[in-house]
Amino acid sequence: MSARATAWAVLRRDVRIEARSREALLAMGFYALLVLVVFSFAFSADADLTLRAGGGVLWVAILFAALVALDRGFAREAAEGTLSGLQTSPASAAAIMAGKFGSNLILILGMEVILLPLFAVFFNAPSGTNWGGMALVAFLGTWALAANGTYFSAMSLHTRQRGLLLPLVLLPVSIPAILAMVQGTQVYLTGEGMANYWLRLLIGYDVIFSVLGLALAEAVLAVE
Amino acid sequence: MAPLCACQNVSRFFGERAVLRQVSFACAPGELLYLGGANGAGKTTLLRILAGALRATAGAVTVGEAAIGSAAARRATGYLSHQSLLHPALTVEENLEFYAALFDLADARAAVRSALARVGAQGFAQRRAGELSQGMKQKAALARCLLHRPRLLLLDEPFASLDRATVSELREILRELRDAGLSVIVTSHQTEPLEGLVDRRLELEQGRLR
Repeated sequence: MSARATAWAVLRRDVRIEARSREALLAMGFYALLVLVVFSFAFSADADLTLRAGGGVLWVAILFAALVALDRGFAREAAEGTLSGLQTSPASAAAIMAGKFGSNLILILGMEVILLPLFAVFFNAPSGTNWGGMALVAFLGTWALAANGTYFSAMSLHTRQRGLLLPLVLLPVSIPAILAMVQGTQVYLTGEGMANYWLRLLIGYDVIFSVLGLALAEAVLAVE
Repeated sequence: MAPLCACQNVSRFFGERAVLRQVSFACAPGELLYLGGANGAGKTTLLRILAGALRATAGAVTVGEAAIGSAAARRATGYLSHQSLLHPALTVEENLEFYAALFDLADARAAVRSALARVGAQGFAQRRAGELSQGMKQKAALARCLLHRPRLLLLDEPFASLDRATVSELREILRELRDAGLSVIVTSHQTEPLEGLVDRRLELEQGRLR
């Protein structure tokens, strides 16, 4: 019960801070929009290519925009000097990590709620697009990014090149999930193929990396 | 009387550089202990180790009967560092409610009200921490330290950058806390506000106790 209350307190505080500053949300939104606009212009002459590349472009936009939020989660604690407050409290590291994961998940999903309709407009999404399926893939894919990203963001706190390390570690580890996100999105966008395999891969990935992140939280949040 | 806090042969190295060398001392319940020394003597490092914010390279530290770093030791300790540990975008009350949740306090709102009243910070509880003056911020930070009713209070330069009136107010708060039976370990380059309050003085010199 206590761990759940701690996680909820961390999540609520981070969401409240972001709602007041909107720093990460604005940076993420701007970056993601820029990617969509640039690629939609680049592919505009070829409707078929636009459709075939759509899933990849969408996840490139989400992935790089998410890096902004993931990097800020723990970096903000270090910059404001509040990390020490977390570390010297009796709260479990796993609960703190769960709360940070929750706030990152909400932040990235919030950006996607704005991004998906824009994607539909810029990429002329077909009328038969399965938006429920797209939302499911987006949720599972975002869960994977948030779970890994939160853990690696905490890990990079102990390094000098924090901003550089996060994408260098996060992106290679996330390759199976990214593959599933892109392929799953493509299936629901074009209506061709089966998404079940990719969904199962994403669910398995989410479970494994969420459990690993919580189990190893103590090691990355320990004091030096 | 058994000590509330005990350090035995505590050393801390940053790379090859020794900042603390085999420091041993104990602090009795209700004792106000002054920790002096020049800049770089290792005072902040020692307080951070006692607070569980830094690991000792060697030696043992206990608070009550709990080893440092354990949840029990953290519950027994309040630490006022150079930074307020309050997030500037949140109000003082929101910050304290957050820490009340981290410490799993049963009645968080009552604990926050009580801590704010204890340091006279009710007047700016609804203001964001980033908008506070240095004196207000220090009081709010002290309220955060007292929120979970610790038995040991660690104060690192509590009077730094404060005007005379606020120093005087903090001195009175410190006297009340000591009279209430709290053990306090304090470092400060300003010794006048502590006159008449200190039970014992320790002096660090290049990481060693003199």
